[in-house]
Amino acid sequence: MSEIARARGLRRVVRATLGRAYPRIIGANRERSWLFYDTVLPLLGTIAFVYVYKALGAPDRFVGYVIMGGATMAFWMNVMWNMAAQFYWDKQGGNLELYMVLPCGIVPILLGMSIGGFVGTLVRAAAIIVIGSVLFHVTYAITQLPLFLLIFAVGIIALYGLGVTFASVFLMWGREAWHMAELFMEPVFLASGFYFPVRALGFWVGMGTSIIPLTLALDAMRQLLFPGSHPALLPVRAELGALVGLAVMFMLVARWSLRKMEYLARREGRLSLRF
Amino acid sequence: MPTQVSVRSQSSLSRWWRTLRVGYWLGWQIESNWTDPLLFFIYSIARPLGGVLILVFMYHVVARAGGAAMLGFFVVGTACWPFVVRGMMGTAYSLISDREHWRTLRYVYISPISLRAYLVGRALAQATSAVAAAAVTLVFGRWVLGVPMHLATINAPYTAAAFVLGIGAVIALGLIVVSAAVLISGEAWRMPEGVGAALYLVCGAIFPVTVLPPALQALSQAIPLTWWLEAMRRGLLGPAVVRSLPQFTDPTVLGFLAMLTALWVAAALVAFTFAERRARQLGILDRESMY
Amino acid sequence: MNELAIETRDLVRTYRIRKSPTNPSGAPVVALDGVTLDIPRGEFFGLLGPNGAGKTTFIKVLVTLLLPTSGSAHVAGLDVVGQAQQVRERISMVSGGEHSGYGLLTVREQLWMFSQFYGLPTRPALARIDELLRIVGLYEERSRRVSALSTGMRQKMNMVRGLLPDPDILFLDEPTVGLDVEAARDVRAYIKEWIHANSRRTILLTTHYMHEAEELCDRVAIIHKGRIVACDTPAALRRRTAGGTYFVLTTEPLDGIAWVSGVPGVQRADARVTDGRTELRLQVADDGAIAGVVKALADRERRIFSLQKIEPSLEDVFVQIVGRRLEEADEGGRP
Ligand SMILES: Nc1ncnc2c1ncn2[C@@H]1O[C@H](COP(=O)(O)OP(=O)(O)O)[C@@H](O)[C@H]1O
Ligand SMILES: [Mg+2]
Repeated sequence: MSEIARARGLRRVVRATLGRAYPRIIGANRERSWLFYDTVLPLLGTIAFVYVYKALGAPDRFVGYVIMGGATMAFWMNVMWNMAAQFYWDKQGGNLELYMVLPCGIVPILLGMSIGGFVGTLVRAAAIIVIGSVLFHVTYAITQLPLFLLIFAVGIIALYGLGVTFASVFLMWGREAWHMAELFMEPVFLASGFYFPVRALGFWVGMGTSIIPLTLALDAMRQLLFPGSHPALLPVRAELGALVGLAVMFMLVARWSLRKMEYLARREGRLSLRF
Repeated sequence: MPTQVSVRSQSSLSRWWRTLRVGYWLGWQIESNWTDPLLFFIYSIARPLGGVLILVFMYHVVARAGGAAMLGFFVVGTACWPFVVRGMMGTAYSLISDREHWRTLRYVYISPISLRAYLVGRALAQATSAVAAAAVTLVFGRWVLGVPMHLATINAPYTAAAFVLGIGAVIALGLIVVSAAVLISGEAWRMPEGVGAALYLVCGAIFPVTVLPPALQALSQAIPLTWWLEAMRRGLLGPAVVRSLPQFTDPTVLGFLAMLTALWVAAALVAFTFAERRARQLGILDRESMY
Repeated sequence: MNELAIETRDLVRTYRIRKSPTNPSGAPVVALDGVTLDIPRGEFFGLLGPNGAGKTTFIKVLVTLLLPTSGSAHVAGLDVVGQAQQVRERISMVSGGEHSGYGLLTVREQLWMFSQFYGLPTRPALARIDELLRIVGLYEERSRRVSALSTGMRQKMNMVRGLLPDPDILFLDEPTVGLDVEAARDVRAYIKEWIHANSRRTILLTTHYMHEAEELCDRVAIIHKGRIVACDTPAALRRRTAGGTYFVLTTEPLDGIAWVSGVPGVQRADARVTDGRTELRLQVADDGAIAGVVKALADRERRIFSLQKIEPSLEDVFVQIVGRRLEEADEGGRP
């Protein structure tokens, strides 16, 4: 066996990140039926809620709300079922122990998981938006595209930061993790205003549920999509500022919870189920 | 001297009944963890109420005059839907997990009992676990949202008849989904969820089917669940209720529900017989997909 | 570089556990109870013991998965507590019976993914993967999904994964558990070759198969209830066993055997009569002494049916040291 020089530092981080992202992007698309269900299930749910607004005789803008909510739901599902529960599955399969002793550390693993999950979900979310908009003849006029994309990016970073935090928390919860992910379905769709302007919950409740990064991201993006008619929680720039704060906070909390998990695992030996 | 217990000597009906009870008992043992406080909170309080409240807020942001009747529509639909989720998806999951997780399906299959009766028992146990969520939703609807559901106006015999027929329809549906699940492996875990989402859309769970395009409306009338939800709403709520099938009278709705349920039960029995035979031919009754 | 690949001093590791019917007091389990061990670079070292003896715990402390409760452990001269990151640059680990990997990936993709975690450039990494896959006989399977592999194939793939970063120190935790005889032989043959190909390589292998330790290891430590109860070369351990080597000789019935002890060099003789034959069990000072016995039997016109030299196995060593058979210990050891 000939010697191969190993990369260190940043180059290794990049390689490891892409290595971990690979199964997320390629592997997940390999199972065609999953691709189908991951797109069609949120789409069906989205359409059902569109019809609720139709039955209520709501203006077209609300159909746009629901379609955006459906696309956002794809990301939330990805974070809950694939990010947050992933370590739990990795532990069951024996991957996690291997990850814990990698020389590159666990950060590139998480980065790769997030990037892979994001790219895969982006495709699904785009499909939901395109199909939903075509079906219901919704058109969007984005007033400030760069700002819109910036808000989306910061929201996604905060969201995946939350995902990393949950990954360690779920791992320590063990079996209850599955149920926790279930708990964060409808109640979160409600609290974040997936299908209606979050302002409807009342200003202070809306401020409270803004801890979920999707709340402010959705509200800010809706302001840019439906200027004038959308009842805003806060001005767009304030919401962007708050999102940046959330992103930083969740990154820090994620880092802290990872350290905590690693320390607990090594001290208590609770990481592995099999011995 | 040991007592002689001969299974064969019993009449087939009493055997069927016994198997059904065993299936129910087993299902109940597996499902009864829903009484755990955390799980009760998640599945019987937080998720159903979250679902109702989403609809309530959607209603409020639009807030049109005369829309108040929609609240009752939402509440009854959301209260009944867990029976579909549990009775149909739950039954499919219990077959798949018997096959792939507990690996007991093969032993159940080769024992001298009716697999149908066993599965119906499991499905009933699943449906029972939905009672709490339904009750919580109705109570919340009545006392928090002020939905007009009064003992005086509830048509109890009608509602009870509709409920029993509806559970029959749900179980027939469950058996059909199970028949499909027997024959597929890789996506078996996702398929029931897909069927559930499709039914949610076409059966008028949260909006009257009158807003659907004509083709989907026709489809919705072929599914007993549409009639079931309509009958439950008519039984529980006063005459002011928004209707999915406004062109029919109350007795007609119940009649169609009975007829369609009978049809679907027959279809389910045929489908299951076919699936079972086919699975035996292919040797996949105890297959495990590799996840 | 430090000449000791692994060095532990009074290593103790306990697990806190919840109160349960089997452990009503909730007292901590002592998995390692003061292990002091030096393993020089280049050695193929075996840790032998029944289930629950503490083998996996020992490996987990060394690969930085677990912190020691007390005592110290160094790998490649680096402290596993304070210098965990540097330790991880030099090691890799393979555990038997693990199910790691993503079922959706092919064998080659799965291995490539791991090579990226070690910072290997893709092209040479793939070349090495193919080379290793050929060696373990998994090359034909390289494009199959991991989920479609049999247990044995999966284990071979894990072995390739462990070898991929070309570690200085390779930890193998019961690597042949669950493998069929042939696959286990392939794996053993290759790791033996691997360690001898480069003098900087060290292997710590745990097993509860005697013959595996005997066949592979330069030195073997026997671990029992978290303590090292013996540590030496397999040959020396065998020699240490009281009773040592003996001969079994079957012959036509003898009237008495008192005379056998009189043959020069014979230390002890026992006899058993079966099927009208006498089976003599002889302990001799040196192998040459047996010739005297044979000659004496010929003088008495007794035919000899068989003559066998019995050497003690590690199994005997274990029985003598620990006082019971490994298989028996296995049953009680599982939590
Ligand atoms: N995470 C853990 N929690 C509690 N006890 C453990 C844990 N891991 C191992 N043990 C206990 O420690 C002892 C040694 O286990 P282990 O190192 O796995 O032994 P071996 O690998 O030799 O079979 C056993 O009694 C086992 O029950
Ligand atoms: Mg072990």
